[in-house]
Amino acid sequence: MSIRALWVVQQRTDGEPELKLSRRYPTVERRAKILLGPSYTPTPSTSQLLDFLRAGRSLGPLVTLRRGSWFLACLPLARSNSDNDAGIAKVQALALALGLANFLSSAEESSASAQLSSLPAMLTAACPFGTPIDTDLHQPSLNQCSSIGSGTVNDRPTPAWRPIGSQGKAAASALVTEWVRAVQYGRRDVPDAWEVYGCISCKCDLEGWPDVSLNATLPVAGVPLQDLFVHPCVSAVPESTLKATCLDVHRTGDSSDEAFAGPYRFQFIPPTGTFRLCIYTASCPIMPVLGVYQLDEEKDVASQGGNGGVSVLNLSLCLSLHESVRNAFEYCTVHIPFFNRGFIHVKDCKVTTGNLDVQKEQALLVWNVGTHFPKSLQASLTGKVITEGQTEHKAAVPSAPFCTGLNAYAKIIFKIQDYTLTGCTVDSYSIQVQPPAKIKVTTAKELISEEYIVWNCLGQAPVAFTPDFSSTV
Amino acid sequence: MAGWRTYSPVPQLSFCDEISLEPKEILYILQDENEATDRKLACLGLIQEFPEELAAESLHEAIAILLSLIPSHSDAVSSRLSVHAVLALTTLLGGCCGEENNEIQIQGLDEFLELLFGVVEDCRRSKDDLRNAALASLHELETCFPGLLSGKLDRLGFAASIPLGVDTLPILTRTLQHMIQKHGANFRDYSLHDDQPPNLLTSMIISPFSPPVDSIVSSMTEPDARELRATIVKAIEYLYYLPTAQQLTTVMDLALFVHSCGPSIPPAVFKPLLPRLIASPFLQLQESALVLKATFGETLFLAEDEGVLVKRTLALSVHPLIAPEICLSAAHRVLHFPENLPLCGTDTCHVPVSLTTTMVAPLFPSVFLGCPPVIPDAPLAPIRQSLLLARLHILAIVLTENSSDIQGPKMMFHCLEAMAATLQPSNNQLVETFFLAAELFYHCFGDSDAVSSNMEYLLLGLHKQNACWVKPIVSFLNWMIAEKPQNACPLNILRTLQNEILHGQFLDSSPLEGLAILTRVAEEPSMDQHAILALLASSQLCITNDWLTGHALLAVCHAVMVQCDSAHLGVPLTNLLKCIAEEHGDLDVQDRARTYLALIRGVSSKKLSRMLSPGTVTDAEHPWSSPVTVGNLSALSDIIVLSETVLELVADVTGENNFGQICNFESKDGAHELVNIINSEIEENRKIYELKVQNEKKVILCESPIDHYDDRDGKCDGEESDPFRLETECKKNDDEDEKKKVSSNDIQNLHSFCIQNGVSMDTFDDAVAMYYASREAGVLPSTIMLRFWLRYNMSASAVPVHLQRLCAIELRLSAGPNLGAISPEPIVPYIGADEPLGQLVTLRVKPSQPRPSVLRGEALFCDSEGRTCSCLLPPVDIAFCSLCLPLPVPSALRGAIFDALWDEFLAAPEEGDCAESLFCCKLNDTGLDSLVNNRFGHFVVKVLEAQYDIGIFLPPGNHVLLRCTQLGATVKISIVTDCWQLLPFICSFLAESTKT
Repeated sequence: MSIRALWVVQQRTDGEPELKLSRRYPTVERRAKILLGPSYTPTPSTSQLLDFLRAGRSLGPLVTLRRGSWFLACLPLARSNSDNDAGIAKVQALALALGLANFLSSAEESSASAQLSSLPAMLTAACPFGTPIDTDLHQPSLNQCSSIGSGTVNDRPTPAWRPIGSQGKAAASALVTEWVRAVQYGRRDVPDAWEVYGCISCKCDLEGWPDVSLNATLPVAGVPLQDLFVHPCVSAVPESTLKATCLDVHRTGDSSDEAFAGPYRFQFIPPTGTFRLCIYTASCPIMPVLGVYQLDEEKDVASQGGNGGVSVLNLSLCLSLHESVRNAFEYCTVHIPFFNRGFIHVKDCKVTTGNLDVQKEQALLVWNVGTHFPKSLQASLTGKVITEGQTEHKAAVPSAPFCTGLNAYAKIIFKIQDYTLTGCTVDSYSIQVQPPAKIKVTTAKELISEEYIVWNCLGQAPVAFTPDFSSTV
Repeated sequence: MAGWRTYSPVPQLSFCDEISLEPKEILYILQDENEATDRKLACLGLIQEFPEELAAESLHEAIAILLSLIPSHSDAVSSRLSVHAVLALTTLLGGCCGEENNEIQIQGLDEFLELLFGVVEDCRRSKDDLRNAALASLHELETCFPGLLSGKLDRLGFAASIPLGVDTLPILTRTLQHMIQKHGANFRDYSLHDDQPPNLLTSMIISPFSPPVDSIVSSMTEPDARELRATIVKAIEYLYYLPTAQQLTTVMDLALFVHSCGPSIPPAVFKPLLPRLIASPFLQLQESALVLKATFGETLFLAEDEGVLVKRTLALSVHPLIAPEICLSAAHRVLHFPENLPLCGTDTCHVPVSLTTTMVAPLFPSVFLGCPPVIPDAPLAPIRQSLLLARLHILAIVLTENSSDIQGPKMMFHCLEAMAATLQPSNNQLVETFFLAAELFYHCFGDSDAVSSNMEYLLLGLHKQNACWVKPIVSFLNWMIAEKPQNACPLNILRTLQNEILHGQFLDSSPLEGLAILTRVAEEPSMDQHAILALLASSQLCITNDWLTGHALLAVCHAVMVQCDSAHLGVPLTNLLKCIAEEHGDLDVQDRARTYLALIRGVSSKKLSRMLSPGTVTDAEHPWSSPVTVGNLSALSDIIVLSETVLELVADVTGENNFGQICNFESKDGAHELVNIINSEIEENRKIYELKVQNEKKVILCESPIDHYDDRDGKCDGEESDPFRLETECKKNDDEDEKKKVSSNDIQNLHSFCIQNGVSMDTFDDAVAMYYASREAGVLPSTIMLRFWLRYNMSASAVPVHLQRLCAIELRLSAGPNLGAISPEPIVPYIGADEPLGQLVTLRVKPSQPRPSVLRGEALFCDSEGRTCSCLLPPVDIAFCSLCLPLPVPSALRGAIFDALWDEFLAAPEEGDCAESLFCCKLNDTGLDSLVNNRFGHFVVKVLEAQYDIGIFLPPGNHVLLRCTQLGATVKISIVTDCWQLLPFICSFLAESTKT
């Protein structure tokens, strides 16, 4: 369950890896010698490690992790790469690598060096001898050097994630954020795909080490939460809330009959700062915005050979807002890129709502739908787009080999405040603090789109196989 | 000692800004009160990473100094120093003190432990750095020396029982675990001081699930058990307050402890903990649940609990808000799920039996998972690839185990098909992922015929879609063949691909890809390789200038050559290689083709296969190579001495040369015939001559000597220069001063000879003088060419099978001291039992004395099995006449030379080597003509009425001159020589010739 050595490597701008920090643990190394006996091999040297990084080869039971330009490697105490008994050591190694990665990548570019220079001291506190004590390097207990007398004898232990109680005005806030991602094809033979997932984020500015509890509730027609995972600060979770998973939906086809529908009660001693109290997924039956995208090339123009690659595209995009969705957007924008076609011009383009922005050099059409859909809950964009082809100008969009011809998509970006697809809400009255205190409570919810893609129904699109279990149920 | 490790000047763990310090220096700095704190901290940091050399040199002193740095009361600054001193001392003790120096260890430890406990029990310190360091040190020391803290169990127990001391819980549980492993349930009666140092370290380091069973005692009094249970329950309750990393280690220790306690403490004490562990997405808490599952199995986890655990672990692996690394870890946990006790330690993956096909449906790749990606051109991160493959692995195992469900393989195939449809040549990661997924699919379901045909369909479809898939397809086919050698699927695919190439235009449109397929096809002995070789030999690819294409072509040839039984492909392969060697535009390709040609001509196919195959031993593992045993391998490297005589050398009596001359060697029936041996010499010299033209570009050499041979009168114009030529070649590099002379001797015909030497063709005196000068200088020809036929000395039917075709026959011959070494050693590429004549062998000898001799030796060759054999050759006589050459001057000058030599030899003093002799026999006119023409044709230098002058030159410098005169019915042959020892041989020859 220990780590023999760890390395922090950063990829330089020229692509070469550079060792920024390393640490070896002699006490673990001694145990490694005893455990491995004749098969013991010393920890890899820095040059071996860097060679490994360059070549992308595997190096024994090394646990590696890449995050941005950072590369973290931890060598767990294990007999071999396939040593199942060493699972705990590997888990600890991975957790520590993740902690390091999160710590390093959380810093802004300007403060990265300061972050790095504070790392050794932090590592000494988090993992002084190779057996991690705490792998969350953001923990305040690792960041501050408290002196004698700062601890208070309490009637119960002090949690590791909240070493000292905060001061100031008592307040608690809870925010339910849901994301929806979707791929719509507009074809009968291919089903659309979408996913909804969310989290409840909390921030509790409270004195001491209070017990906080809150309820997340669903409306009558709400969608039950699945795959609920909670922060380790949550001390008690009703077992019934843990049983619903996405696996059940596929088995029964419908989880709504038996599924637990709340309220979801959480008890916890909050960490300082904002934290994710829980995360979940949901099998929502609706997509908030339905899009139909049609892009066709005018054949007369396309067949003319001497026009320097100029083509005229007939464009039509219709969006429908589902009636149950709150028609009040913080923003709703549609990005329509034209790959591999050079600069673009628009002709006779009309939108029923909002406005259109043509970013000629990016070969991008941006339709700002606005904050509301019309009463019909439908909005459309029609018109012609003239593309210059690749002969004269190269558009400043990344190349996309797949998106040639009529293979094209539109991306919808939106955010709706005070609305979630599941209906999940944190009841502000349910937030209770023990010992009782007068606190300011704030709750909110929001729905944000993520990878919300509508493919041109006249072109090709990536399609995933959707298993049909109806015959096996 | 050499400079010690380097350290950074600030207390960092980085190797940056390295400074070298000796151990003594470190200790000096630590002791020096005036030294800056940062410098001391740096030294302590150094000890924490590299304590070995310090321990080896001054352990006692180092322990004492480090202990002095840990005061019982400290301010903030000194606390920082003391924190690092605690860590450094722990590292020094735990990392360097083994059982070999126990005394030191105990002495140092006692004081140190007291200090540490003093810090831990100091109520004023809470969440204090020194306290944290002391806690970590105690835990580490107990881990390094199991049982070390057993004497302090009560103190630890007390500390852990109060809320403030919750952070001592990991130390307590670790100590308890070690104690119960060592002493069983009566562990409380023991302490470190009345026992030997513990030696259970090895079993405790890593595997918490296999305690030494015999050490566990189940007898525990009820009050003890109750008290212990209460402690455990409290500990489990307090786990919540620990960091997740410590929760895992503590749960592990607790689980093992409870397990060791037997029925005294039921596993159900962990029941309240389970929901919290299962509810967390944190790696360590998830793992803690699995530790409990692995330790207690069904006694803690009911079927329903296990179902929840499995489902949530699986759900975690597909959760969109979880880091992919954690998802991957969750997927691996499912793949290695602890199903039953004891834990399966094998590498094989097995998923929980409770998983059904419908439950694993979310694991099918989706556009959100990244394969196919929402936007196809988006890069697929390696971690996503690993995650996808892990999910597919679970899917495949579940679907395989539910074999009654025929939908499973079908679904997996459709999934693969969907992935294939979105492959982009530019997206390497996606392509790689697809083929890895295909491997998984084939690994699990490849035995099914339906799956094989589906695979065939899929791969052929990909091949048609884009030629760029050829290389990954070929790699995949290789993998398929290695994975399931008995399965015909990959061979069927190869066959189809081959047919498409043979009958389509693929090779024209994508030559490199087509050749890659053909190379792979050529590696399969069961494929029709004749067709491939024929197609390639007739294709335009052989005459391109493209280096890449050339080498791709050669790769096909190489693949054929690697096969063990490629002998039957010799002709088409040779044709193709010849075509490449002659027609291809790239010199490098031509050269390699020639090398291959030489190889296939000179080495048996089996041996060639062994030579060209990469890695001799690993070849035995190649599914497509013939099985090679270790015995066979050694046989290939040994030489087998055959007791029987397989081959023999036979003098060239067939007259199969350009001039229709009778061979000059002793024939098998013993008849000796002295004839011109020039035929073979001319053959040989022509090569040298032509080479000379190329190299030196001499105008004078433009006329080919072979063209000047006049067959009609039995003379050859070119022959005159040949002996000079040979000698020239030998001398050329020896002496720079003689270059001009040598060059002047480099003549090929009379005309050039005269021009070169400035002699008139009418006056021969100069020519004679020149000849004498050459003889004086020792530049007369010295080499003789001997021609033999190498053939089997048994009938074809009697030749053993493995000797039917021999390759790379190396003749190691010796012709005795008079004829010297035969060099270079002749090598005959091959010989077959179906060749009655055998192979012509030309030997070059350089006599030291012109005496008949016997050729002896052995032949080394490769048999058709690729083994190296050796057999003795029967001895062959080299007759006197074989050593004779015409006078080595142009034929028009021979008469003058003859006369001059004749006079010289006759005039020579008697005590010298010159001698005169006379041979008489009865012969009529026609008999003499016949004798001379048949036996001395090319040696005749002058013909007068009833008289023939015959000049014979014997390398290295002797002459025999004959004057045959018809005197009625008698022929008188006067013999003059400059070497009297030759007289018996010439007389014997004459007697033999005139007799017949």
